[in-house]
Amino acid sequence: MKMNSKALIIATVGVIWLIVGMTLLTELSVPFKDLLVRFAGHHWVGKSLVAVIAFSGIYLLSQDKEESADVLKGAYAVVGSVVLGGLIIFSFFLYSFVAG
Amino acid sequence: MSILVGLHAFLGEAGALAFFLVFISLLSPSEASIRRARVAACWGVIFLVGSWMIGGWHYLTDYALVVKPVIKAGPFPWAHLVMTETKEHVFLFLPFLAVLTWGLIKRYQGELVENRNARTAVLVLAVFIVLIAFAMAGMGFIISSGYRAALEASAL
Repeated sequence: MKMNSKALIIATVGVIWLIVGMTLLTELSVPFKDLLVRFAGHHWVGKSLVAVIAFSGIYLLSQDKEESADVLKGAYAVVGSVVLGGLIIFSFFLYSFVAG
Repeated sequence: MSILVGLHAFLGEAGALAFFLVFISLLSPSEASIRRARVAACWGVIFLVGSWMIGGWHYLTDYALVVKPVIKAGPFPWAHLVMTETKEHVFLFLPFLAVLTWGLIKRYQGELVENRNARTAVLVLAVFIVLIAFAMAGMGFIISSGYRAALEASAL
């Protein structure tokens, strides 16, 4: 099976932002946290499972896309998403701690 | 201290070393070094997924029941409230970054010698995985230190 690089990159960027979104939503929304707990027994396990399902789903839905000639640009998009997403997560928890 | 912590850290760092080997192998690519990079990336995925599973097991058992309440009651509660909370979520990026990198090597394995764009993409991702994995180790050290400080404070 030939991998589709564009689909891989779209799936990776998508799942990174999904994880960031779920992380913030879990802290801000009790119903969402309860939904994850009902789904998987623990909110972190729920996030992990949703991320795996989403990555696979996004890849499968994107695998017919035409591949880009500039896969390096996609790699930078992934790196940028991780850095920005990580900073958002860290800043959120730091703010939550400082604000009490 | 649970053996799960040691196993989690070992697998995480083994994953980091695997992707460091990917990086080194592709700096001067040849058919043999590309094959080596592909195998190393595959092992890197396995190690990081293993670290994910073992870390999760520890997090849901020993850490939740014993470690977390001690840290939160100790002199450095931010070791959990900021560091663990950040680490447990940023870590989730790693397995997907690993799968992406392995996938790109597999996709472009016949072209990595002459396709500089694809090769640079893999190099960037591989070194980034190493950096994130070592950042995870650093955060783990801070969390463990927060636990130790809390134990020492309660003993005095």
